[in-house]
Amino acid sequence: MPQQQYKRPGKFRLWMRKYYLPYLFISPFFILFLVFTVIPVFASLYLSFTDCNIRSLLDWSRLKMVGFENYKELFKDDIFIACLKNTFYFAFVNVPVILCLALTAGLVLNSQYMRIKGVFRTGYYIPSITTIVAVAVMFRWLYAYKFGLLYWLLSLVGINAPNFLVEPNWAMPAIIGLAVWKGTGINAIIYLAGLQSIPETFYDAAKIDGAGAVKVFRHITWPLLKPTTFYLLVMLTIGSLQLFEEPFMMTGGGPLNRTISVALYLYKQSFKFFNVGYGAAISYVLFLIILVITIVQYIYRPRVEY
Amino acid sequence: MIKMRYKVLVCLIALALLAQTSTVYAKTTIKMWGMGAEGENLKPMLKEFEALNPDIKVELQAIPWGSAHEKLLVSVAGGIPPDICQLGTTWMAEFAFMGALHPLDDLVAKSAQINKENYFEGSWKTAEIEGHIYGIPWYVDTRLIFYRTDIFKNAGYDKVPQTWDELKEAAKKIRQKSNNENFAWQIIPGDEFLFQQLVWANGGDILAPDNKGSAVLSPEVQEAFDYMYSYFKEHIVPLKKEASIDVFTGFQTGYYAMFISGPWNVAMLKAKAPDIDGKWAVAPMPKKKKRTSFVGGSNLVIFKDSKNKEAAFKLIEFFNRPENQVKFYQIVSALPSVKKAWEDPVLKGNPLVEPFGEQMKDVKAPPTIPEWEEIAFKIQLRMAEALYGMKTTNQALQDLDADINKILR
Repeated sequence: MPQQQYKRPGKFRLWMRKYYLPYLFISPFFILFLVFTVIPVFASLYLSFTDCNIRSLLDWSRLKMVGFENYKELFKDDIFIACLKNTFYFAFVNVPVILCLALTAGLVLNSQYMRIKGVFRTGYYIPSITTIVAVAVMFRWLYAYKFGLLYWLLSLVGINAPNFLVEPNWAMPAIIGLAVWKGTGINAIIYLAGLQSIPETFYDAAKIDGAGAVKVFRHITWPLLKPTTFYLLVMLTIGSLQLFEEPFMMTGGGPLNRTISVALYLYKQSFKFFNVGYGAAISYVLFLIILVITIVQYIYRPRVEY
Repeated sequence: MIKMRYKVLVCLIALALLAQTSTVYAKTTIKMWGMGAEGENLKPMLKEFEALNPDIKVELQAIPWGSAHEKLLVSVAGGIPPDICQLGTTWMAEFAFMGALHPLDDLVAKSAQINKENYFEGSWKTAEIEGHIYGIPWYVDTRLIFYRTDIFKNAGYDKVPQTWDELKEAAKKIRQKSNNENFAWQIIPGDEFLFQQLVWANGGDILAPDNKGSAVLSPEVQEAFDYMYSYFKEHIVPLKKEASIDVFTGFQTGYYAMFISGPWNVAMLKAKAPDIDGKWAVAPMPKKKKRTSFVGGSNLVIFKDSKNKEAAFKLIEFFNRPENQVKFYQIVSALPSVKKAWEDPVLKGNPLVEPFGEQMKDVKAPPTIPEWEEIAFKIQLRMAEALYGMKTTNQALQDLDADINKILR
């Protein structure tokens, strides 16, 4: 048998390999992204200008363009205004509380006096990977009136606990309690990573200069953690404004719509009442709110120079 | 030699395949989706159906209730729904208005067996949408009073009182007897089912005839709302602060002496609360002008995209024979939709079942319009606003009236 000789690929093939093959390899992601994200995003933008509802869901010929009617309607809708209030209330409490707790937990985890760090790290992380369904069931029991653990604990110190998820003024704090419990751990781990990336030499220099623990934190740890804090702030704000699962599982938006969030209302309008056009408008308002807040945060981002 | 063998083998396989396909071709295969316990326990009945109709084969798929709605929506949107399916009565409007269901008027008109008169009126109406029939009731459920005979006896009642005023009186007595520790029952702020039932019992309705606009400003609705509200005002049901003890636990421990709910509680109480066995009974709803209760259950529907509508309808007819309805009751305790099945000794005379049949004579379903979900959402909100003391009942109803008219506009 004659030896198989290496045959140089043709020009076309070479050209193909050089310029197109890489795109072929990364195309699966982009195809899926296009089909499941980009197209729906534009489709929902279109839908937000229509009166799409259950009657036109299968029969598109009944779809009617209504211009900005859905958006105008939104700001006359008391429930949507309540949603905005609730969502901002949640975000304004949830974000700072989680940041403070996560920073504290991160500092403690980073401390040289800390033993069995691995156990604590895992422990802090577990809440954020536990499914919300299980968490909600657990918290409903914790908050339960008369039979709940929290009720019992508070009764030990003589406090008559409210019926958390039923009383209008206590429902949102109860939801925030759950969100904080679920959200602190993962942020603490990210803070820990940030803390560990601060070069040891800064601390050594500070020690030689005679700085105490408070001063070290104020002048070294805090400024050098700013990029981490900024990242967490942005991500937490976006996540908090998209509040959905917690009230969905715990209260369904009640009592008196005190825990209904923008995302929950958009779900109800689109998939419960089938006012799909109206729901799409809500989603675009939510998107714009998040976009503006993130841009503002980005403008005032900290700049750290070593 | 070997080659020869191969040839024979190939021929045999081809023959077998041919035989296979030809028998399949002669048979019509219909796809059926059943939900929850109904879906899981249907096999034996389907075998019987196939024996009676050798030309039809039924492929059953059991779907858990939790994911059923989503799966149905997806299959309809994708154009591959099953031929026949059970649909919760409250889902009828949504799927019919979407244009997913096949109207059964012609098939019913031709049918010797299926006839409007054989069914409870309220139940049949759940399948009637804009003058067309989109499903046949398969089984029904209705809401009754479950009450603790011992507690009511202690308060001086042999059975649960049968009118609105007497019931409230009894509720007061029960509360006094327990030194204001326990309650007769619980009203959840925003329970639109109870509200509707009270309105119906008072001869009113939430929507005007033909579902054109709101009727909540009528004196009947106002009176029903005030009656419900008075329980809170006089503190004979738990106030909002106390209102979260699970009904089931409360009933078991005697914290609540009664609750209003559906037939599934009969089996559940027997299984999960054996300690109060024999200490509870069921009774029809209390009377004002009428004693109307809510009706639900499942209807059997045929999808528009089905290619075997005739065969599917045969299956519906099979399920709706009185004897098969009784059989189905014995398998999954689903209450028969066909009136005649209730005369069977299996159901007749059973003190925990018969009251449901009695109640079925006066039942109603929420309007079969797709906007109902949204209206229910508003009813819940406005009721809660009044019961939490943020608005007067009158103001709440005025707001509700405006809400409903806006939704139906």
